[in-house]
Amino acid sequence: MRKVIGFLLIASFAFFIVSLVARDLWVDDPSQVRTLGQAAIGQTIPQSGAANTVTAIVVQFRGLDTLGEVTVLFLSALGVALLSGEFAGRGLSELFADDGGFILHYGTRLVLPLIALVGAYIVAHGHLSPGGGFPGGVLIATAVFAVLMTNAQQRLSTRLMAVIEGLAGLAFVGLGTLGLLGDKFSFLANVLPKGQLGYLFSAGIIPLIYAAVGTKVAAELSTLVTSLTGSDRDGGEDHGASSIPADTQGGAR
Amino acid sequence: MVSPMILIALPLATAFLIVLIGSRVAARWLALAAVALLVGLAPFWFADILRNGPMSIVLADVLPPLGIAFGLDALSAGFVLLIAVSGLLVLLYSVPYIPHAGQFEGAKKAETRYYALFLLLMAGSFGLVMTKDIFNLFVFFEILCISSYILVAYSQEERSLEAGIKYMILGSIGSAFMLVAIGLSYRVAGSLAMNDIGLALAAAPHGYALLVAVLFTLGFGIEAAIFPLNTWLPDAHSSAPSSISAVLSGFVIEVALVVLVRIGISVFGTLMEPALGVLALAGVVVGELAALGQKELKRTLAFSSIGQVSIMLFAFSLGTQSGDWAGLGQLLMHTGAKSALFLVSGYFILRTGSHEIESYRGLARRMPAAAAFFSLAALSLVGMPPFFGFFTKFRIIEVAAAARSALGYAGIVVILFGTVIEAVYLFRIVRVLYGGAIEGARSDALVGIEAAAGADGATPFADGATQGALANAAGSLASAATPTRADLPALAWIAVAGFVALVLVGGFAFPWFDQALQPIAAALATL
Repeated sequence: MRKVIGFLLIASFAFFIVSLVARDLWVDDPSQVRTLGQAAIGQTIPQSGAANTVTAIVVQFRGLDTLGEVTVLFLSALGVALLSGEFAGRGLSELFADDGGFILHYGTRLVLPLIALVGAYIVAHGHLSPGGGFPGGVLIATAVFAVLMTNAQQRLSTRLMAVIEGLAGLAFVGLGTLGLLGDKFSFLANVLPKGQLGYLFSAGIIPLIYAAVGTKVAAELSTLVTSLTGSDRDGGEDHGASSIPADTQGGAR
Repeated sequence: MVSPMILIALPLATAFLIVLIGSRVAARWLALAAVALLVGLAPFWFADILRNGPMSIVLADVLPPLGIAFGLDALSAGFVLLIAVSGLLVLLYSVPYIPHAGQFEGAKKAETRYYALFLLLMAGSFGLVMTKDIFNLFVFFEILCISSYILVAYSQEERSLEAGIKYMILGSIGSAFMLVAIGLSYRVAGSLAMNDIGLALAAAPHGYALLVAVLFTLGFGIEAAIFPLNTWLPDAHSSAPSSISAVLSGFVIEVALVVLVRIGISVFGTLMEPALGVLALAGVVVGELAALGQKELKRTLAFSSIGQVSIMLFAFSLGTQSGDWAGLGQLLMHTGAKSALFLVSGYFILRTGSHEIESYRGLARRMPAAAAFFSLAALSLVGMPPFFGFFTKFRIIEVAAAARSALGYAGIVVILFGTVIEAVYLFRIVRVLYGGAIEGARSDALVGIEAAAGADGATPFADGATQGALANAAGSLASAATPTRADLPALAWIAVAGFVALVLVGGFAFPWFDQALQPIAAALATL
């Protein structure tokens, strides 16, 4: 009975949407489209001094959204760390239980600096070229995963990661507050000197915010993996790879 | 004048700092200090807005529509005050309560994170009431939702994990609906500012606007616990730590509801109101009837929240300013009363180790202050004359009668019916609390005590013992078995007293509250 009612509800909702799509949704000329895109392109250089319009939008024009998104990621990492106590050391950690053989072990050491370097480059050049704090931070975090996956003894200190993400978060909020102290009196305003367009040291607070975002994203994703796999150096031995029973260790491979 | 952006920046910065320091003592004090500062500042913003009108805040030195439209008006300033004060009281309560809320590995570490999450939840609520940009709204909505998913599951018992996951699944579906609605709005308006979207939707084909309104209401309505979308609520509010139940029932649903109503009026026009009114009345009936059938205290209170929120929604859906006014009064009353009820029930559960109402029989003798606070808040929730709840419910009925519509008259009948049921189940709990000797079947708690007594070698529960002697023995034994103070700890006492004071002052100074709510209600219908 419940299933029938549920099905009827979903079907009527689907019918409602389909009927609207057929009638109203394919309007060729939506009523009042503003030319926001043109405005964004026009305002990028005078307002932000960044060569990359997307970055100007993400970090300055809609900077509060970015601060919010960084907070959402921080929250997720916090939640996983809080709630993973029960299932850490099960399931996922099998992947991290051995060092993946000779080739992976040493191959990782070879490419590791390169991955981290590319990540740092993408973070640092966010205001000039596509990329920025989020993708760059993810790339740096993949370097950390690679180490954790190919070296069973390697442990990451979540304490250290917490310090890093806390500092990066404080840096973001602090840079935003700088705008409140300046003469423009507005949160996240770009009050630092804009420099010369296209140079590494330009665009005021944008590269600094992206550096904070990149650091934070990298630290948070590393914390996520560490807490899910139980490869936390501070967490004691009971959640570590060593606690996996022999049968599960062999079973998956 | 300090910029109101501190409402976002300070909780975020404090949360980052708490994680950075990683000590639970520091976490407590930092969180308390930050929120106390905001409580100190909030009345000034409110007074400033009453004098000088709405304050718009320019972010990043970029004006909307390119930048984010943000600002404080009477409604958001009023809510900022409400959220800050409730947050401070609940934080005070958390200090003695949270160490007992979860018995799991790493609970000490988790306590540090609890304060960070709590501050982020408050930052999300502040942002939600202040933003005038629909995508920014989504971001703060996500912060609020994700922190509440985690806090609901905080104690990591099976039921709280289940509730958290259920809440998360429904919340994510809601977020997806909202995101589609935001995309459709942006397509038609070319801007994310709510003002522009309102104008564009008014000019768009009716069906298009309706689709956006329905999708948005479906998404946001999950958080605002509108009737058919509230299936997550009883589980989440009953298995969260009691401090979090108090926050979720006290201001989180209310904030979501008010923001939804405001956007419904200002952005979508009045497309949804009659439908919301019908849903609200269904919610009152379903919530109150379900509360009547519950055996557990916190589940009863959670279902009662559904009923109460639906009463507010009904008042808002009348579509008049006096309706908004009456709804806001009810909202304020519910924040005070329900927060106090949940906070007290947290200590009932801690002291007896049981969620069942039946096992609190005679608890008023062990916890006189707690039981008194519980009764006062319950009386106000029902709507007994000298209390706040009487005036707010009376006002809603008055407004509904003045509307002279079928929905208004139906609303009067349904609200009175709901009040009767509310009285039945809340007075039942109060009677249990003040109940005399244990009558009839022995409660679970007593059986536990008896087992403990048996283990001690004492056998006061011989078959021939009279009922009175049995109760006395149980009382003395129970107090001997709990080395901690039987009543509320000092900080929890202050927190509960604060909420109860709101309910009492609201009743005795109702004309004053009435006047204070006037500008807030006027701001609800504008953006």
